[in-house]
Amino acid sequence: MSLLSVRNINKAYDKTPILKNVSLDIYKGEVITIIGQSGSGKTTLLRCLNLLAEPDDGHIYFLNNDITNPHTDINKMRMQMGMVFQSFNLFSNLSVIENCMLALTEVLKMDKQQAEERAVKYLTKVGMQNFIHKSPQTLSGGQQQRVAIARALCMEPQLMLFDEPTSALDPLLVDEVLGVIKDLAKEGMTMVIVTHEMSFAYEISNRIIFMDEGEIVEEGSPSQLFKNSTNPKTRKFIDNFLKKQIIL
Amino acid sequence: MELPDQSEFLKTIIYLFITYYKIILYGLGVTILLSVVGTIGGFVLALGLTQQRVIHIDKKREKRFKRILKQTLKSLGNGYVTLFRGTPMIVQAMIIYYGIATLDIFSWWNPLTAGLIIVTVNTTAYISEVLRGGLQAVPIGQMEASRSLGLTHNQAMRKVVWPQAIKNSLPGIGNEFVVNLKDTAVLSVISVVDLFYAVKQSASATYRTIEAFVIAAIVYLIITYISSKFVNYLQKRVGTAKVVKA
Repeated sequence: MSLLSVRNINKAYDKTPILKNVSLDIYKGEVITIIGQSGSGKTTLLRCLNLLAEPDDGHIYFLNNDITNPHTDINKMRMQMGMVFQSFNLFSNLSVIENCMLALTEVLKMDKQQAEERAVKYLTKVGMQNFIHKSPQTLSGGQQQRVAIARALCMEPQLMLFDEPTSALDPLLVDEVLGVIKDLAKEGMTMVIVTHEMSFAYEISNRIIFMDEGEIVEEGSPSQLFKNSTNPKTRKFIDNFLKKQIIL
Repeated sequence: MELPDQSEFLKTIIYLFITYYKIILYGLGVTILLSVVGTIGGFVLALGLTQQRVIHIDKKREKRFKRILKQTLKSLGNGYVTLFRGTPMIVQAMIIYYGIATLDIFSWWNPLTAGLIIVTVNTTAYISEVLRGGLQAVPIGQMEASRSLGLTHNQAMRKVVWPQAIKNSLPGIGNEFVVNLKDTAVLSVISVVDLFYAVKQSASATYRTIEAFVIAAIVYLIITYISSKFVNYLQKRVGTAKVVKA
């Protein structure tokens, strides 16, 4: 039984189709990366999974609930799906620990002490335990993103969604964030990651999804896509990436 | 002390101030009262008004009746702002003061009470625009991150978006206070004994109009200068003042 399944969703912005009849299954413990050019719809697909973007039609089932049904309590579903954004989106009016505690006290109705303990636990996990009373603005991009990951982990979600988690980072800061994500993968966290970091995708994924023009062109194991793909679109995208690697 | 000769400009100013300082200081007190009450009252009311104007309507999940109700509230809120920003406060003062005085239903209705209410409802409209700008300046990602954690729209507004919007709005709200110090002068039209009205009385008693209003100008300048400095200080304290360092 899949943890999350997407059935035939379509999505258009101002009549420009972004997603065309996309279907996808995500099973517990899987690490899935979505790759593809800018504008291929990968971020929109990810945002549809927790309904930050609403599909025009089709269905999305999460833990056997149809989240596209207006009667489903979407907040209950989102509680169990963490999301990490490209631009971190830490709450700038709150300190690091308050960022992590907010949903615990507001959504899970934990008492303050319990929430604090859990926040410290996850901030320690991402190596940010020495910054708990800092304001997010005083942190580096890599530190902010690690706090954002801790904030999502605090809800102890069933699934983590990453929307280009390293795209806004200085090259030197990318590894500290990817390191945290790799650790999560080792622990068996189910994750869907939109990324432009090809070697990271190759290394971490159980399955890679290649998207182009709003469609899933091909999906398979990293070696299937990177080495044995016969699809011309996939080949072109991968070759382009490999060429760059050689130049370097 | 005698009223100095026409040619004695400075002496006349000193004379007028010494002779009329009680009513001038009283008028100053009323001007400050109007501005403080108007700005604080306006801010509190504007919070509600602005929330009503930006109310979130979920087309897919809310019942039709609820959506229409919300849309009506929204339009009423926008209408309020258009009305009070689109007409001069002096005109609002005439209509509200004489309108209610004519009805003759409130025995406590007097110019000062009317003035306090008029400046408050007027400032509400202006501060609501300031707050709306402050809300728009909060990045959309703040709301998205809140919602992704399972917070409801209202929880996200209350805990994340509004606190940032209010902070963004502090310079504009401080500015409203300074504007109110000066603009409440128009309330003299309904005989509110503010600084302007007090000075006008001393002018008409002595026929030394220019000298009297130079006093008014000086006093207005002093209080607006002090309050601008105070507003700047507050902004630095809460960190909304962006200091550009070369």
